[in-house]
Amino acid sequence: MRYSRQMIMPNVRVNGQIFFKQSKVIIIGAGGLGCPAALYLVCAGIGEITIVDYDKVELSNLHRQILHSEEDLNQAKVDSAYNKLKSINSDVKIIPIHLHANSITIQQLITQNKYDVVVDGSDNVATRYLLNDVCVMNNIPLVSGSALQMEGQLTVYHYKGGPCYRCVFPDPPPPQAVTNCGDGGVLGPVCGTIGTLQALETIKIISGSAGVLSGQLLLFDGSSTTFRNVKLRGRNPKCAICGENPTVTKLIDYEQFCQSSAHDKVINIDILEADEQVEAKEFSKIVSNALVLDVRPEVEYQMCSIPGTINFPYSDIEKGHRMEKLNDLLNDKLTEVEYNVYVLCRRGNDSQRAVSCLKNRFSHIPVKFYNIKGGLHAYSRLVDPQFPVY
Amino acid sequence: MQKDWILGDLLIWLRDNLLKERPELFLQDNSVRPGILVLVNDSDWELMDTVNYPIQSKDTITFISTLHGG
Repeated sequence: MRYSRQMIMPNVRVNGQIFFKQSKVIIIGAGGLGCPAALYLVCAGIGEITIVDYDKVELSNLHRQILHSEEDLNQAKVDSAYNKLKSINSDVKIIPIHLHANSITIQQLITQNKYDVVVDGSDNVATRYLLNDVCVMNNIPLVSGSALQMEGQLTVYHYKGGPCYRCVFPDPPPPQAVTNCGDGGVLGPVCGTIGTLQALETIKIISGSAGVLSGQLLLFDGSSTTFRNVKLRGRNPKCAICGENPTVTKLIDYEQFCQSSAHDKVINIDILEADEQVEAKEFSKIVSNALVLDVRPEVEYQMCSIPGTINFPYSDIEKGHRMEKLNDLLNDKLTEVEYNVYVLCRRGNDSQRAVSCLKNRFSHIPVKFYNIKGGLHAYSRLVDPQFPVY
Repeated sequence: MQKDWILGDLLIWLRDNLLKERPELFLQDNSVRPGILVLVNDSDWELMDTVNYPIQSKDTITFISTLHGG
């Protein structure tokens, strides 16, 4: 009864449902893509579904990672996903694996099991190359999805002679050209659309349907609700991994290859001297009568800010935009003695960069710029727990 | 008779006329940087000889940046 509405379709039938039951799918990432993908695959009655994720549930995940709820905060995402999925379909064997996917761990998993499909719901470039390479080496189709802000992309790599990720993107992008969801933001239904389509492609691969999205890339633009299906190049005979003479014959260090980490967390920088920084606690005592520049983007400043601070985005400082305005602001405060300007941002990284720009640009006036260590995150943690962390 | 424009010419023109900052995030070694997909009428430019493709009247040329979030 449970599967009757899909089994009466000529595309599935009894046979198709048996295929589903006999298949094994592995989903990397229990986030914005992995959640909806897992949900539909579990509902459809796939025999065994392995879910891999190293991360814990955070409040800022819940708008898009629909398997997790408020009571799951700080729990491993794979455990939270397991509990939800099990309650939906207890016939499916669900294997939660709390693990960071890297060359060693993923190799073991994939070679010890015979997965029919790998679903890429990861959030970074290094993991995408890793999954591509392991899929090619083990001859498994890779259902690849990604999403950012209002846009999503979907394709199937290494399927029936089609191209792999490296055929299309032989070299990783420069790290500074990559935006992650933590910085760029993403809308829940945009992830949901792509994750759901990943489940669809997985089901089509398992049931041997025609029309699998191989050699094509689907571009989804949520802002105009348009889908574009574009034709990709075919498999490259000179591809480093799936070509005729592959140069990559075992898994490599993908963080090194991509010059970026295999997660989407922000790595903190430390570029200033100790005497150019103040602690959040110390800052809280002087904030009321000091000149404080909050260098976050305007949209973030509008969400929450400390009263009395002035928003002057780092993007302007970096490019030297609106410098007359800043000059006026500083000159208004100008006195005989050197005075202090405090620079603040979300985590304390852009504010360091801003201090380092500003001290050079305004070296001719008696002003000293200070970075507020750890930014608003530290302020919320150490001074005012009511101040929102995002 | 004007000379034919190939895609490579367009890239240079875009860099010199439209890009205001950090051209290296668009162009590298006279082609697009890794992670940008160029489409001619919704097909990968790799299928039409990339920078050497002679642009035709009414062609639609699109630059897609790959996404990695999820």
